[in-house]
Amino acid sequence: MTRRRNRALWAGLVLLGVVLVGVGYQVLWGGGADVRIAVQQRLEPPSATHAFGTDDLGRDVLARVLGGGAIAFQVGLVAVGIGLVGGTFLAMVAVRWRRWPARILGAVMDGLMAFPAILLALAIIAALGTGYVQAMIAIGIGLVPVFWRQTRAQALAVEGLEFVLAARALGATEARVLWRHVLPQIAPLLVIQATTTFSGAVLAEASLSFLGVGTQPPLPSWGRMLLDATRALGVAPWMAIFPGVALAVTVLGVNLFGDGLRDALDPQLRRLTGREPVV
Amino acid sequence: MRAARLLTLILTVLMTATIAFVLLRVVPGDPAALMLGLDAPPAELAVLRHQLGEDQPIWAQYAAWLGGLATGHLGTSFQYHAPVATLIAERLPVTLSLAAAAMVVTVVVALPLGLLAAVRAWSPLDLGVLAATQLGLAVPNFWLGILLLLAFSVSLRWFPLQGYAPLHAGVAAWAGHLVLPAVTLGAARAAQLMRFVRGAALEELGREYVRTARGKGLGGRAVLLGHVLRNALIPVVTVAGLQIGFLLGGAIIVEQVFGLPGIGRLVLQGIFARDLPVVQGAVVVLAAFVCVLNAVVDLLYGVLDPRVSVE
Repeated sequence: MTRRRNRALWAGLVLLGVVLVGVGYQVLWGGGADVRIAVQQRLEPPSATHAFGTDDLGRDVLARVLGGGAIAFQVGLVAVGIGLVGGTFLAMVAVRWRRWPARILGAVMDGLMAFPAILLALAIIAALGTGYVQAMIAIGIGLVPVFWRQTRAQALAVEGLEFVLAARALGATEARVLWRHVLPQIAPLLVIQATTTFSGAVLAEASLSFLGVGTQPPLPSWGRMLLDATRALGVAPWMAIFPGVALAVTVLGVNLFGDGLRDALDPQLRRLTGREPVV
Repeated sequence: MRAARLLTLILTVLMTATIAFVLLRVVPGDPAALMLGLDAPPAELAVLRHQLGEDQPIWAQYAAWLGGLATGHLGTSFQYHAPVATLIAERLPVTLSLAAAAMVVTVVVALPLGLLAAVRAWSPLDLGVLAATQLGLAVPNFWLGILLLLAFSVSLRWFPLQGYAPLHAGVAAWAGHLVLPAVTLGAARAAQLMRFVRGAALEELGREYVRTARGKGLGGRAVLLGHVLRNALIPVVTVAGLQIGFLLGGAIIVEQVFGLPGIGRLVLQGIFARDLPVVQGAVVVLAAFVCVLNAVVDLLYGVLDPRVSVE
C-alpha cells in the first residue's frame, strides 16, 4: 500500500494536528484551563476579539474549548493507559495460570462487559465521587475487559507457535516467554486497540461531564460546556456549537487515524474495514 | 444448548449483581458515612448503618442483597423513602420506550441504506453513505440532540423542547416527545449498523448462489431481498443485538438532553443525593436487561440460521 492511498491515516493526522496545535498553544501561552471570568461581556456572539463568542460568565469560548481539549486528552490518555496496562497484565496472568485464576478472571471480565460502559462508569463514580480524576479511573476500569479479551485471545494464539516452543525448549521461564516473546508479537494490535479506544474514552469523558459527574467547574470540559449551553440554547447557540465541533473533530480524527494505522500495521485486516471492494 | 445459554445468563446476571455490590457497598468503605456526609450525627449514622445492614458481616450483607434481588426487593431509597423497585418500575417504561424507538430508527435507516450502498458499491451514493457513517460515529449523541433541539424545537418549533408524555396521554403526544430523542440515540447506532449491513451484503453479493439466482433469470430485487438480505441478516442481527447495550447506556445520556424522566435521571439523582440503594438497584436492573436481551438475540440467531441450532 502506497503512502498516497492511506488517506485515512493522513486525514486523521491533519484533524488531530489542528486540535493539538490549538490545545498546545492554550496550554503553553494561553493560560491553560484557567480562563478569566468577565461578567460585563457575557453571552457575546462570535466577533474579532472572541472568535467563538463568550459564555454566560463572559469567558472566551475559544480559550475554554482549547483548555477543555487539554483535559480531554489527559483523561483519554490516562484512561486508555489504565485499560491497556491492567487488561494486558490480567490477560498475561490468565494465560500463565490457565486453571482457576483464568476462570475467575474470565467470569469477572464477562460481568464487567455485561454493563453498558456508561452505566459502569456511573456506578464507579457513585462509589468514588464526582470529578475528572474519578472519571479517568471509571473509564479506565471499563476499558480493562476490552484489552483483556483481545490480548488474551492473541496471546493464546501466539503462544502455540514454534518460536515460543523453541524459547521454552531453551529453558526460558514462563514469565520470560510471555514478556520477551509473546508480548512483542501482539504489540501492534495493542497499539491499534489503544487508538480506537482513545476516541471512546474522550467521548466518555465528555458524556460524564455532560451528565455533571465528570470534570467539575471551573475546569473546562467539552461535555460540561455543552451542558451549560443547554441552559442558554435560545440566546447563545455558539456555546452549543463550538465545543461539539471540537469533540467531533477530535473523535473523527482519532477514528480515521486508527483506521489508517490498522491498514498500515496489519494489511490483512484491511478487508474488514470495508475500504477495499470485496466483489 | 438452550439450557446452557440459560445457565450462562444466570451466571452473568449474578456476576453483575456481585460487581454492583462490591462497587457500591464495599468500595466506599462506609456507605452510610458517604450517604450522610462527614458531619452527620452519630445517632443518624447508626440508624442508617442498621437499615443498610452494615452491622452484619459482609457475607451476610451479600446474601441478603442477592436474596432481595431474587424476590424483587432492591432496598429502600434514602432520598424518596420509597422502595427502589417501585421507583425503577415507574421510570423503566420511559427508558425502554426511548431505546425501542431508537432501535426502530436504527434499523429503518441502516437496512435500506446499507443494502443500497452495497449494490452501488463505490458509486457517489456509496461514498456519501460511508462518509455519513464516519460522521455519525464521531458526533456524540448528546451534541446531536442539542443541535436537533436548536433546529427543530428552538427555531422551527416543530417539537416540544423538554419532557415526556406517557402513552396513555395519547399516541401523538407520546410520539411527539420521542421523535427527537429517538433520532438522537439511534443516529450513531444506525451509522455503525449501516457499515455492517453494507459489508455483509457486499460479501453475500460475491457468492456463487447469487450468480446462480441471477443465472436463473431472477430480477435484481428478488435476488437482493430473497437471497442476499436473508443471508446478510444473520451477522446483522448479532450486531443489532450488541447495540442493545449501547442503546440503554446512551438512553441515560439522551434522557438528560431532552429532560425525559427515565432510569438515567434516577441514577444521576441517586449519585448527586448519594442515594446508593437507588444507584445500585438501577444499575443491576439495567445490566440484567441487557443480559436478557442479548440472550434473546442469541436464540433469534438460531431461528434465522438453522445451521446454528443443529450444532
